Amino acid sequence: MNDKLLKLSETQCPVDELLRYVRSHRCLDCGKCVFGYEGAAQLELTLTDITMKKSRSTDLAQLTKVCRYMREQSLCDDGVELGDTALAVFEQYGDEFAAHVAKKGCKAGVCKSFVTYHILADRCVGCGDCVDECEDDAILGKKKFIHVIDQDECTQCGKCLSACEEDAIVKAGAVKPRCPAKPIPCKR
Amino acid sequence: MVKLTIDGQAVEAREGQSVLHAALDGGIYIPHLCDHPDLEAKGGCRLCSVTVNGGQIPVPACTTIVEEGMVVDSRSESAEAVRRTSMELMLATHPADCTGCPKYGKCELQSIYQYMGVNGQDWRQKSRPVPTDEKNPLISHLFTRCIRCGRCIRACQDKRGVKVLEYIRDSSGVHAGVPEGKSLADAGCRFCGACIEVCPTGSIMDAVGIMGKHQSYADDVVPCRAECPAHIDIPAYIRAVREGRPGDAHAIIREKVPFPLVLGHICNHLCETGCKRTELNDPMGIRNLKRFAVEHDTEQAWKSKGFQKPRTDKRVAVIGSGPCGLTAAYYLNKLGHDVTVLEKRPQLGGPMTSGIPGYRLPLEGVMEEIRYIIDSGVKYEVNREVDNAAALRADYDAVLVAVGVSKGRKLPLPGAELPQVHTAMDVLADSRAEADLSCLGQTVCVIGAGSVGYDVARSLVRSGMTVNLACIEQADKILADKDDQEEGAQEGVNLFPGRSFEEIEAADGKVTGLRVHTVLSSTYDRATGKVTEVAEEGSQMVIPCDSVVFATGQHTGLQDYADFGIELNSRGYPVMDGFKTSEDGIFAAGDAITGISFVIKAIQQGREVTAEIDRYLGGDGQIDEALVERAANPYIGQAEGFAALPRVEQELRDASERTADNMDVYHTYTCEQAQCESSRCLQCDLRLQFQRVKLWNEYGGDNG
Repeated sequence: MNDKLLKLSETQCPVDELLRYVRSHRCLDCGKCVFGYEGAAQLELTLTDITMKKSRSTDLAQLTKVCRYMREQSLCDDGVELGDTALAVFEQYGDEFAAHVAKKGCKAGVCKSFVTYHILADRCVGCGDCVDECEDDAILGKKKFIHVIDQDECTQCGKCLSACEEDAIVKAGAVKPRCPAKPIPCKR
Repeated sequence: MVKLTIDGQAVEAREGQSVLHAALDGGIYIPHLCDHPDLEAKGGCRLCSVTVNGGQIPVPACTTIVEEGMVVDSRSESAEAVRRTSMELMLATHPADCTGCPKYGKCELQSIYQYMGVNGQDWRQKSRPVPTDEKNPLISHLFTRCIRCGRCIRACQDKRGVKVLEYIRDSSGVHAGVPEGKSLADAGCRFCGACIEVCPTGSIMDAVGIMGKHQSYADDVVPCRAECPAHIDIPAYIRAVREGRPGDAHAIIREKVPFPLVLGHICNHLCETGCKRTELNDPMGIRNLKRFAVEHDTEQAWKSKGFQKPRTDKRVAVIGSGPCGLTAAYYLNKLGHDVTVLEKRPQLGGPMTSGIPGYRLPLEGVMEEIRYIIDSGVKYEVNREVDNAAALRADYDAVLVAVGVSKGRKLPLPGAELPQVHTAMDVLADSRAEADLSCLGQTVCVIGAGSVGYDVARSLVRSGMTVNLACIEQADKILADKDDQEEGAQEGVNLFPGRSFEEIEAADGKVTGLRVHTVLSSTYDRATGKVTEVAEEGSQMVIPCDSVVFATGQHTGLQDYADFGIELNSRGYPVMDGFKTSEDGIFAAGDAITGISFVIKAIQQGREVTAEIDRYLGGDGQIDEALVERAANPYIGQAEGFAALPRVEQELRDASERTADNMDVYHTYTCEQAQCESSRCLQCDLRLQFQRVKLWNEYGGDNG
């Protein structure tokens, strides 16, 4: 079992970390047994979907099932270890997985699909630097207006974050700051 | 024996046998996919999961060895659950378009999931597309369908020792394949087809167009043997040559034909047309290996084997002693019948001794094979022409008409009746008998450039004559094979292709030349026998000559007799019902019923008519015999550059040297050459050693 996956910091997302672990696992290079290889493949496919906010309600149950078989029916210790590790991560970080599957958010702010960007009204000076930086035209508002990010257009690239000299733009996980719905004249 | 219980049924198993095979042998079906009866069990697929002695954790039956008193349950809840999940996982990433797959209906994966009634819909589905690779000869790779069972890899690595296939990881995932993106040929593949044979899905298949040409699967797999009219076990005798056992090779050939040496020289080798190596470079030199084997068999061990049935009191007359007649006589005698061969010429052998020239077929070799037949107890009369088969039948229990097509045919040209105009049959017989040919003069025109035309032309060149060979076919459509054309040209045969014949010119009753004109094209209508031609204007010319020889077809000559005693058709061939003529007890076979053909075909006709006559005389018609036990080592090992190994040809003597005598134009393979050539064989027959995996519906009981 890989213990490192059970000692994650606050900035590490367990879903993302497990996915990375699966992707580099020997089971995906081998193919000699169904549970080792196809189990790892299902872990990869499903975890990828979960991090991308595309999970199904049955995902955790299915993954738990396949990991138990990996632990029990793999041809060698590699598959056993991967199943074991994944089950331990599910158990330890059950809340995190549940939050992802319920599409509520990624607490660590790692899974891009769950992260949103916001412009704080009390800091924005309406300079327009962020508007110029955004390649997706997702930032609304003329100069001297408090800018607003159109969440439907935003691709979470994060470039606006560094463009803003006022530190008015923030990343948010599950808890979102209160922001205006559309651009309003800037008072500062 | 080990006694155990599987699914409530008492089963007896061999010591050391797997639970899976104990069950299957006992008629109890347990799904299984990565297991193959001829390969080491690995337990990767888990479809054969069972619980043992009431245990909860399922184990693979294929890697679990039977123990006395074991209680096995293949249908326990936990075993079924493992099995279903495994199948679901495999299907989740396997392409779903079964109907578009060439393996549809023969696929083990398809059969098992239908039996289990599962699909992969509860899982993330994603097929892993791998480009289909049709670039390799003989073998198609469609690895999108690979389920990583590893059977092909085990077959290639462990069973064959060729070690070309491995598990490959690329952007699409893991599948079987050749490392480093190499072609099969570059990787050292020996194209034995083991991978195709054991693949349960449509991932590795025979290339398009390889299968489905013959009546049976085995014939498709081993086309040389299938294409040979006598079905000689060609891969087996090539193997014997390679392993330094020419005597065994000779015996294997002898199982089907009594004229191995004759065939080793002049067979038209249909086997080579079927040879799968043609897809890599050139076909095996099968005929040449046959000659080598016969000439190097010093022990003749086959003579003490084979069957000889007790004597019957039945008498059979065989009219004609060509390859068909003598073959029939040989086997009829072995079946116990009293056989007499009646030959109109002074010596036995038909075309083998009086048609085919000595430079293609040495007389001594033919005589040795004929002598063996006579020594085995066949009686014969030479200079005995039969003019009525029905009259002969009165003295015999059965009569076989195997007269061949020994009468030459002339074209109805003006001048064809002149004394210096002959047929190929007569000239070849005289030439073979080393009779005086001075009546032909110094310059001869031969009409017709089939193999008989070339036989005449090349024989007469050896008698010191100038030979002009003319035919209506254009140069690229000449009927004789390429070797004949090339060697004939080297020996000085003057070829006049694309000529139509007008008249044989003469002065004072002596031939002076053949008047011809050039044709731009010609078509022959087989039904009417008419030739339609487009003549080139102003192309008329006279080829000067002292005599003319027609090599323009042959017939039985039976219509020349007042009454041969059996019904004949308008072309002089017996009216046949299979091998039966119009008269009870009178049979016919060989060229006399098929028209001019090849020796191997005539021999096969002789074998078939033997069975028919034997059954007519109250026997079982069984003439098959095994003269050598077969033991083929499937571990063929590695051979670098195998695919490119060039075909070894027999050494051709210099044209000047070979026209100075009438000896064989080719030297037999040396031992080294025979070794090289026989090592090129793909050994397609090894594939048939693999047991076929039975599908669930082939097991009895309530498995449905």
